[in-house]
Amino acid sequence: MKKNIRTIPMKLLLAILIILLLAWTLLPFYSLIITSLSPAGELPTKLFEVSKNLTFKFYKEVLIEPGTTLWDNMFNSVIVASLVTIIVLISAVFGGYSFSRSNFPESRGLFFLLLIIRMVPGILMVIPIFIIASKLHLMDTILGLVLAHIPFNIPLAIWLMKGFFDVVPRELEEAAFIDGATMPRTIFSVILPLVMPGVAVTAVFVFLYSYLDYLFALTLSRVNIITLPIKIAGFMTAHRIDFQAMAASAIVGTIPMILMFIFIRRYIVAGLTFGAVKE
Amino acid sequence: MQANGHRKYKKRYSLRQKTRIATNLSLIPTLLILTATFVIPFIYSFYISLRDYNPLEHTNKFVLFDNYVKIFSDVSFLQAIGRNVIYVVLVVSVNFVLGLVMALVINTRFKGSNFLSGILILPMILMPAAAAVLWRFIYDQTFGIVNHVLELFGIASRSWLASGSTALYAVILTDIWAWTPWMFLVLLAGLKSLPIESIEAARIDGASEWSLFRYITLPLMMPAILIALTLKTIDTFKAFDYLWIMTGGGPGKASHIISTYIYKTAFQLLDFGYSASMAVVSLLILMVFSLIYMFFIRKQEAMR
Repeated sequence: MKKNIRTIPMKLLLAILIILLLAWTLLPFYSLIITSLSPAGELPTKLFEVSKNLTFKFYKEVLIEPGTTLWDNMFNSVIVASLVTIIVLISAVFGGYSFSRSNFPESRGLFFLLLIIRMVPGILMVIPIFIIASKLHLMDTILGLVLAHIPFNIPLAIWLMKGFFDVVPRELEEAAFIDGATMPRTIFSVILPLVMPGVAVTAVFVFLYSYLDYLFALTLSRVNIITLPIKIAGFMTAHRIDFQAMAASAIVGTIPMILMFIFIRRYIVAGLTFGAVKE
Repeated sequence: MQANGHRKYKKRYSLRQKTRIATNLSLIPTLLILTATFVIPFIYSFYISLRDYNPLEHTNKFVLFDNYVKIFSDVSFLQAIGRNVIYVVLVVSVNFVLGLVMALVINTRFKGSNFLSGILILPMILMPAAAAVLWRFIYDQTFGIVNHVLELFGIASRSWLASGSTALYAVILTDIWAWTPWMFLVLLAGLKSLPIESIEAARIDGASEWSLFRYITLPLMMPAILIALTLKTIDTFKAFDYLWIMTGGGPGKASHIISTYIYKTAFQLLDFGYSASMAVVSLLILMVFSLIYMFFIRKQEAMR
């Protein structure tokens, strides 16, 4: 089989395609990295032109120097994402268990609701959420942003958890039920320990989506809870353009994501295709 | 006494009933959370869409379907819908072709193909806000790498985002760059799950690479492809981040799509009633889209 593919023209075509795909994917990253290292006023004006005085000054600015660091923003993002993850996981562990074990009409109804949430545009929800948040004095608070992030993460999280519960044999909790164990007890001490890796993967997905959110953070934050995406987008406004600091922050903000992506590598496709299921 | 009670309990509930009670009870946290955070704001948005609600002009009264009627005469919004369609068609189709090429290349399993696929998904890992500012820089007239590359071909540099005729397409290219990895991963998963035997058999019978692809691989992948296209269409239809950060709908109103136009109406003009009604309309369009796709998926399933 392999020999058949590897005729000379096929090999050549493959090589050309690989080079083109690499260039397409990597050139923007090249630009990002070079920009973050270029001293002020020495940005490249030609392809592959690089300043001789490359500097880590802008990394120092966003990591160390007081007043310009990203830590406050990083902190906001992480707090919001963590709270969202905890609440969504409570829903997803029970909900995923339920969807895995039952095909009763009650759960089918909720499944329909989850599909609707998957489809609803954020822009439809951001208007009522903004008005409600203003009325309840939740504007510019962590709680407000957490509540806004929760619903959009629940369908995916329940879906992932259902997949993990599906592999746990039903006989386990049926045996526990027959022995008279209560439902929460069965879930917590019999089944949950078996799906812990799944809980971790789901947590990372939810965390990532909340960490990345731009629309809701943009709408609900003013001064107190500027999250990382808002901060990074803010480097480029009509009035002020700070290319190097922007590039350095983008790279710093992306590093946690790379780590999390490596962790969930095997589950990425399952997580990304939620909603693709026929019941 | 206790043994007696236990037996009674067992009589009253069968295992099936017990499971039903347990599974329904476990839906309660989800139901409570979703009611508070989704159902109430969702219904509230329909309610707002029936009102003339603008804190800037101190109006807040019930106007029934006036907002919806207004949509039909709002040329800017109708144009935004048109641009949204262009946006979706271009992003989804180019994403699909590029993602398929990537998946086919990686699936030939040469030395280092795993490493290469790790590199190809990098754009997806960059957070959308960062990708958007990065590409704003990339399109810069003096420092942008797009102009540097084009200079090699003798094309004069220009400010791609500042011109009404190119701004939308520049953002579309960014969206394509950032989300092709998604399409690539989903299609690669589809390719990997194909039955190798039938492809091998055809190859031994002397089928050319192209006809193998056209008559065996592609039809077998059709279900995965349809699902990928459906999801991508729904998500792209809701696009907001890149366009809002890169052009803000400008220059003028030249690059507004549905979400950015609604956002501007809601949060810069504070016309909540009207913007809510546009958002409801965009949900309806999305549902029609999804129903059409669902029809094709059902048809595909019926054929198998």
